[in-house]
Amino acid sequence: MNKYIEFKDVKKIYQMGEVKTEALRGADFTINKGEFVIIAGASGAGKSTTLNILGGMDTVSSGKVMVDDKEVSRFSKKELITYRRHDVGFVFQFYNLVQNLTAIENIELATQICKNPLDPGQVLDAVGLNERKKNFPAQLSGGEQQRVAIARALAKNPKLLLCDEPTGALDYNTGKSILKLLQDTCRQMGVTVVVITHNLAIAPMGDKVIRVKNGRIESQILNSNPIPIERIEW
Amino acid sequence: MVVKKTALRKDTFKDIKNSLGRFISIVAIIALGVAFFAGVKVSPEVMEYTADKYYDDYNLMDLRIVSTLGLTEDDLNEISSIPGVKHSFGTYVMDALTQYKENEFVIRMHGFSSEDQINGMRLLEGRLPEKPDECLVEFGKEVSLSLPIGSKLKLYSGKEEPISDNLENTEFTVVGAVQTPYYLSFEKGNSDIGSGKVRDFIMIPQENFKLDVYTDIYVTVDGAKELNSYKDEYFDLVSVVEDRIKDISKNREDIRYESIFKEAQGEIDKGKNEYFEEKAKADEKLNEAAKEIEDAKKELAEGEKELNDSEKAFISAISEGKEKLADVEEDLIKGEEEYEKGLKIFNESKIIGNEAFIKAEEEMKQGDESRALLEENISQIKAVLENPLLPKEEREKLTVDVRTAEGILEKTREAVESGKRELEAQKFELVKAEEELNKNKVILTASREKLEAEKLNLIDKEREGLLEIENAREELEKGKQDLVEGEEEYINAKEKAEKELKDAWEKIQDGERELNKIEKAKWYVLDRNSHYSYVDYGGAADRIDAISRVFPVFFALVAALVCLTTMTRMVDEQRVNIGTLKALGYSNGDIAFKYIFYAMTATILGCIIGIAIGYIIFPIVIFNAYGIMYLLPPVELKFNVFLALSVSLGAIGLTTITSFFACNNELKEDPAALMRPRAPKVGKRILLERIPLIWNKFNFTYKVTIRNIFRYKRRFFMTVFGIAGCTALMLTAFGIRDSIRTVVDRQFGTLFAYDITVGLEPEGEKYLNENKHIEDYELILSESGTLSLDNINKDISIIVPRNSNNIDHFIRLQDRKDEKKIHIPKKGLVITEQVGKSLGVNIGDELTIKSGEDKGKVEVTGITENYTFNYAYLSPDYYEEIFGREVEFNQAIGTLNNTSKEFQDSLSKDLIKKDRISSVSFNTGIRENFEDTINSLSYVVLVMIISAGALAFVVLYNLTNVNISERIREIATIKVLGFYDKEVSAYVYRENTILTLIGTAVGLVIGIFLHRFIMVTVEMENIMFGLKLEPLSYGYSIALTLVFAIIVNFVMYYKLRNVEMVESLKSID
Repeated sequence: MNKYIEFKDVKKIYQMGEVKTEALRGADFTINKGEFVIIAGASGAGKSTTLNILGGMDTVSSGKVMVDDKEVSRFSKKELITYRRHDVGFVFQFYNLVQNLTAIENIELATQICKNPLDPGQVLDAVGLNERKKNFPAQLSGGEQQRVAIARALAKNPKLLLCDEPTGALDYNTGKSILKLLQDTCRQMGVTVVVITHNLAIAPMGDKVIRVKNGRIESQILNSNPIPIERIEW
Repeated sequence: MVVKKTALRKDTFKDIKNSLGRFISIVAIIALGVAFFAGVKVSPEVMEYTADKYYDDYNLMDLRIVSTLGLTEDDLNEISSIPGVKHSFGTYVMDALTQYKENEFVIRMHGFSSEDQINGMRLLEGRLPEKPDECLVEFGKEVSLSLPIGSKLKLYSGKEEPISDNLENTEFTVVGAVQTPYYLSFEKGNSDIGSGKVRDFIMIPQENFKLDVYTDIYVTVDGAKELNSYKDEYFDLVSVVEDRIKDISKNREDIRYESIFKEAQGEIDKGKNEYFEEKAKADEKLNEAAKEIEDAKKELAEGEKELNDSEKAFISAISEGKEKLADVEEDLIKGEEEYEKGLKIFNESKIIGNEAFIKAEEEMKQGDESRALLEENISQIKAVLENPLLPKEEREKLTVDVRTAEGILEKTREAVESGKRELEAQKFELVKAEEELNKNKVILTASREKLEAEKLNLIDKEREGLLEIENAREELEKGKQDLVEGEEEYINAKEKAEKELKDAWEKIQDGERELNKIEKAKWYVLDRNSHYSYVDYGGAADRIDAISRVFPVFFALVAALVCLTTMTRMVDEQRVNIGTLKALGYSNGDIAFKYIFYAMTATILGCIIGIAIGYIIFPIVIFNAYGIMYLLPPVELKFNVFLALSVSLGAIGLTTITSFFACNNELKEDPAALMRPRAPKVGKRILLERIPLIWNKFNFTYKVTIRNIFRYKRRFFMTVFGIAGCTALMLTAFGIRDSIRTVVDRQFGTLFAYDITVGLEPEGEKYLNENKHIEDYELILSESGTLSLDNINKDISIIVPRNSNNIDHFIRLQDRKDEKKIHIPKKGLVITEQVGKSLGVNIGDELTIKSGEDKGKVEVTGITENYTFNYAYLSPDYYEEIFGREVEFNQAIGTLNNTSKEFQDSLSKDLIKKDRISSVSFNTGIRENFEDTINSLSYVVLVMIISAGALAFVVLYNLTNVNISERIREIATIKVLGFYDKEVSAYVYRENTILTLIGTAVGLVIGIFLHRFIMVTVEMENIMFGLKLEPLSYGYSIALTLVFAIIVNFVMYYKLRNVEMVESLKSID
């Protein structure tokens, strides 16, 4: 088995004045290439921190992070930016689209700096927003915005697709369709997808479920038979 | 339970601590605006206050009284006794000429009485005069004469009467240097002697003045010192006393007029008496002369008659004489004939006689010889006889021989003797006859001689007589001629005497007419508003005030905008907090208070700093800048509480209101909405997008940038405005320097192309011709005059060049705007631009020109570019036509082939020595003086540039800060997307750059207008500032603005770099 992604005894401590916050107290896990991973845990458990470190947006206080045989935890600031640029696609809970740009332009924003991007138009198509290319985010619904965000992340042709509570701001049905999109992407394009959620109900759709508790990895469970999201109800 | 809001207050204070950057930017912009406004606004006050204190310290007069007929001691006493008059001081003011460093100057002499006299002085060097021949001079700056202590000043009057008529001493030693509030500005006034302009003043002890009336009386008013003389209350107080003086003036004028009239009348009467006396004398003399002539005539007539008679007598006497002589001659001739006869006979006898004589003598001689022989024989014999040895026979023989010989001898002797006797007798007879003949001859000869002599005598006498008569006649003729001449002379003398008497009488008549013409005395009671220095300086203060009305508005606007944006941003950021507080139940007031407090604290701090800086820096800088043009003591700073408070309140009000508006919007929403993230501003298509032709050409990143610019309109305006303000200020600052530079460069480089000015009389021209260092020159008349139109009078210098066509080598007359050359026409006036503006005249208008007592109407045919002082140019013919007198050229302006200082000094020395040349000055000297003045204004410029920079910096910093804060999510997102730091910066800065460029362009335009406004406002009486901005100034302004922008961007780079993606993208819930 390929250890595509590996967290080894990763610790993350935030220092704010005299206050020390230990977000991660030694996280260990691995993720294989092309897996659909769900990271679940209570609020403040350290899920986001994990994702941030994985996405090169934050640094470890100690420990090792390997992604595709590269030690991300040792990257310099610039190397992290490069890592983010080409290897990572991020999807946020609140979409974070640039309001001043149309849907297609938002994607172009991301593809312009990648070394091997997909065609923005095609990706938008793929997420079903062909007719909405020239709309501004304000003219799109929540789901449509998130789809744009996902398209943006996908267009980068990254190794990793990291999603921090992607359905948090969406209703049940919209959320489900987004998750389906993510799942399909994972299956069809072979992108390693990591989704953070505090909704355990969707855990079955992932190939792997990593549980985080109090800054540590409580469990890593492999699902031998991940269930398509359409069939999950909650 | 008491409601305490300590937690809220803590929150408020924490806010300040946590956002120090924002807090300080508000403090800074307020400080800047307040400093500028308060500083510039208080400067005129400081200027006036300092001046007024100076006036008070040295007793500047409140009122000055002069009279057309002078002021007497009685007048002084009367004035002193008027209620309200604190002190009064009668003194003398007179102009004189003096020489210093070989140049001639006009100086104004003021009377010195004591140190605390009205119009006193501040002693800066040396001491006060103790002896009558000591004097004080001005302790001046570069443009003053700066006569050193110890130097001697010789004064002369510059008029026909010598100065010793009016002054005891004519030479003074400088013992001290002073400054006096009477002369604040360098302008000392005009004079009617020398060059026409008073160059400097001196103070000499009053005893020196021999005038019997005061020329000026100075008065101080009770209670006036305590008031500020630039304010209305002062004038209210002073005008009361002024009116009282004016009341008595009428009476005093009459008294004075009467006394003068009487005096003059007395003089005239005296004159008349003299006239009559002289007339009588003259008449007497003439009569005498007439009589003499008559007598002479008579005498001549008599003489003539006598002469004629004498002539007659003489002629008859001569002819008588001639007759007589003729008779005598006849007789004489007879006698001569007889004589001749006698002589003839005698001569015949004589011949015979002589023959006989000769014979006789021969015989006698023979006889003598025989005798001699005999004697010898005898002797021999005797000798032999002597010999005793002689034989007797022999002796006897011999003795007989001897006796015989002797006997013969005797007989011979006798014969000879008798022969001799007879001969003698015959001879004697002959001789006698000859004698008688000779006697007769002699007598005849004598008679003939006598006759001849008498003849000659007569002839001589005749000739003499005729000559004498001739002479006498000549003399008579001469005498007659003399008489004629004498008569002529008499007639002439009579005529002359009559004429002179007539003239004298006319003069007397004139005198009487003049006497009647003597205008009544007129008193002029002048307050400080008529005092040049006071008014001039007050004007300067007013100009600063005018500026203070424009500038600060600018800053206030910027400050308001900055404040508004900052507070809005702050409120926006704290949206959730506000929602929470609201949810907790705090009132809108409590919440609003937080922000208002924040703003107010920042403002108060800004005000304190601003006022502290403004009240100190600006007045000092401005005062010192103007101080170059005036002679003042050091600045007295004044803290105007009212201004400080009102400015502060204004500023506080401004920020409070903006803060209120900022948070008002938020507070209107309900808590739940507040706690949700703010709906981001809607993206829209902009106009440019609808033009696909242009739009598609743009790079993707530029599309983002342009959209962003138009999306945030408020930010757009603020940035543009802030930058524009900065650029405008800088352009104005450089422009001020340019304008001032223009004055020097254009005036003394282009317009006045001459290097040297020589004051001379026309005869001195030849020295200029001789001097080979003077390339070329032109003679001009330069005198002071006035132009007037509708009651506005402006002092100018009248320039009349000898050759109007040649003058453009030296003075270039041209239109400022199109640089077209202006000629001095045959009939017409060319005036300088500033005076044209003051009088409101255009080409073709008519105005009145006045020189001395003469004036006339002239037409303006040209308005020429000119920056220093004011001139009127006209041709000599026109001058004569207007003023009715011939032009007397008194100056020459010329170009040199070498303008180095050593050269000029030596040239000046050479020229001054020459007769008829009175002064030499060089334009380089004048130019240098101006440059010094102007360089000092550089400080003002520097302050402005620094303020502009500070403004730019604060605005840009603030805006960029706000920009980043507003778009932190966006920035964080692109960071997440993998934008390098530089790319992130570029993303933000592209907008900034475009806005800066637009702002700069707008700023240049505003700057041009602002500069123009300021230059026109600060214009002084005799200086017009150029309005052209050099390209380099534009360049500097743009460059500096960009530099400031770059500095800000540089600082912000670090802020961008440190944007935490995680923090910024934190989910709201």
